[in-house]
Amino acid sequence: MPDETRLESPVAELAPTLEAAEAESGHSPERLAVPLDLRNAVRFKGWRGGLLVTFPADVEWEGSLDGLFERMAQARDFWEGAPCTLDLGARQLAPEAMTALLERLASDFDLSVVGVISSDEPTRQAAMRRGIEAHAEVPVPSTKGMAAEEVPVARYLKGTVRSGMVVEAPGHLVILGDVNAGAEVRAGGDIVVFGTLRGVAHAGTTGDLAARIQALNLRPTQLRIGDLIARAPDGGQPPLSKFPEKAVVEEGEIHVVPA
Amino acid sequence: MSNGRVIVITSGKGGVGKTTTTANLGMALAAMGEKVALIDADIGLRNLDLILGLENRIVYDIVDVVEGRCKLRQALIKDKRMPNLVLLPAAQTRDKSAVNPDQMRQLIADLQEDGYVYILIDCPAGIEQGFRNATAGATEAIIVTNPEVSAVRDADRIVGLLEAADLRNPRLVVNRLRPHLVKNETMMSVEDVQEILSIPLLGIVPDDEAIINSSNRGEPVILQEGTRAGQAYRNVARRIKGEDVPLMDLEEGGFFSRLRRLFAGAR
Repeated sequence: MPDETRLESPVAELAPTLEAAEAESGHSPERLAVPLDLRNAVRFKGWRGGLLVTFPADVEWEGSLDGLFERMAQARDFWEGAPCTLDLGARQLAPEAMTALLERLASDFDLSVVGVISSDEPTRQAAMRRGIEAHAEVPVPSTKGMAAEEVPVARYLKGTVRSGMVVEAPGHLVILGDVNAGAEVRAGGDIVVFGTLRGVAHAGTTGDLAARIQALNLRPTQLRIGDLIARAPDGGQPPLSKFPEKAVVEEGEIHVVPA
Repeated sequence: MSNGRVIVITSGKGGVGKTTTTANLGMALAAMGEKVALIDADIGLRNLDLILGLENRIVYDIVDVVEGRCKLRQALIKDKRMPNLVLLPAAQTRDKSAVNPDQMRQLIADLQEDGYVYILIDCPAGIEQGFRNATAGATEAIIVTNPEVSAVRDADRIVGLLEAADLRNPRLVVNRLRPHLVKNETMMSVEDVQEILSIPLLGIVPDDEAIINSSNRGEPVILQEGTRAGQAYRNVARRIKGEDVPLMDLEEGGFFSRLRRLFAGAR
């Protein structure tokens, strides 16, 4: 078998970025009331199965809070109930200010703060007194501890997948090499082949029609996405494309388009 | 012990020239002075003895050795032309299950004990018991393929199975290439084959009518001076020994006339 490593990314699958959250709640950034510079002040990122909120050092506290709550309100459904970690940087936060923040996050957004990252010792102690995990800096994820309980986000494979081999992944599948004719690759999510795909590829095996199949050279025997099937044209392959291509589902059919 | 080489010659698909390749490479290595033993692992469908012209000398075979009816040395047939080449013939009356991988490994160890430096194993077609036996004791593999999709597909499967059996870095011999068919794009080129298999190329053997004649007469083609296939096999044997031998020019008219055409085309 080709060499293989599993990626246990601390940035949980499909980090819920602001854009994604806004798309989900149907709000566009233009409609937000808070000025742009403040909105950009607080950063969100999916992290350890929850939310990491970063407060930049150069923005004053009240202003960043306004931006935070405004954004939280826009994408309420998205964050609601998520375990949340606050990255306060070097900021010294008075215990009262922290209490106020935690209470508001809990009451308005049902968010429980499980961690605080602060380089300020008193702030960390204040957090710990409230039973919140405190770190001096963003902890480097230990891949060992995570492996046991988390489903791997992507399976990563280096080498040629040859005729007769079947490679499966519950999540995404990334192959650095060719997938030869007679081989089959299957993934619950997307399939990315950094090489030539000549065999059969099935993305979105659990029925996900948003899954895609992408390859530097896409010359498959057959492509399947969800329950859809497309096959190579009869009578020989068309000439090699000069650019990478991807197969996606559009209007209930598999289409191959430039990636 | 064991700085010897144990090389299995395999292909997946039948009829691509495994046996011819085994015979010629064995003969070529022996001609270079190496002590060579050939094992025909195609039990039940033995051919290697025919290609070598040694059929009429077989008394004992590999199954007789394994089942203890004779000593290994009694079964080895010394080649009539090369004194340092021996053949361990397959049994014709049994099938692949007559030998198991452990017995194969033991045979190889015994041959090495007797001082055979190159042991070439002619693998049967297919991916079943016979393939597993033939690859069991090998430390290197040569994949023989023809420039056609079915042979390449099977070769690809074999490379995968060899990897799974921890026989890494197999090398490729593309057999029966017809340069003029490649040129008018009716035959896969060596580049096409290599792009799919992505394993190192050990040699290219052109399709040569001399092979048919030599097989029927039991005279490996490398013994005939002036044949292109014979030269190709000699080159492969030298590369197996580690020599750096450039690929021979297969196209009619030779390298320089092609170069001239190239420049003529560029003008």
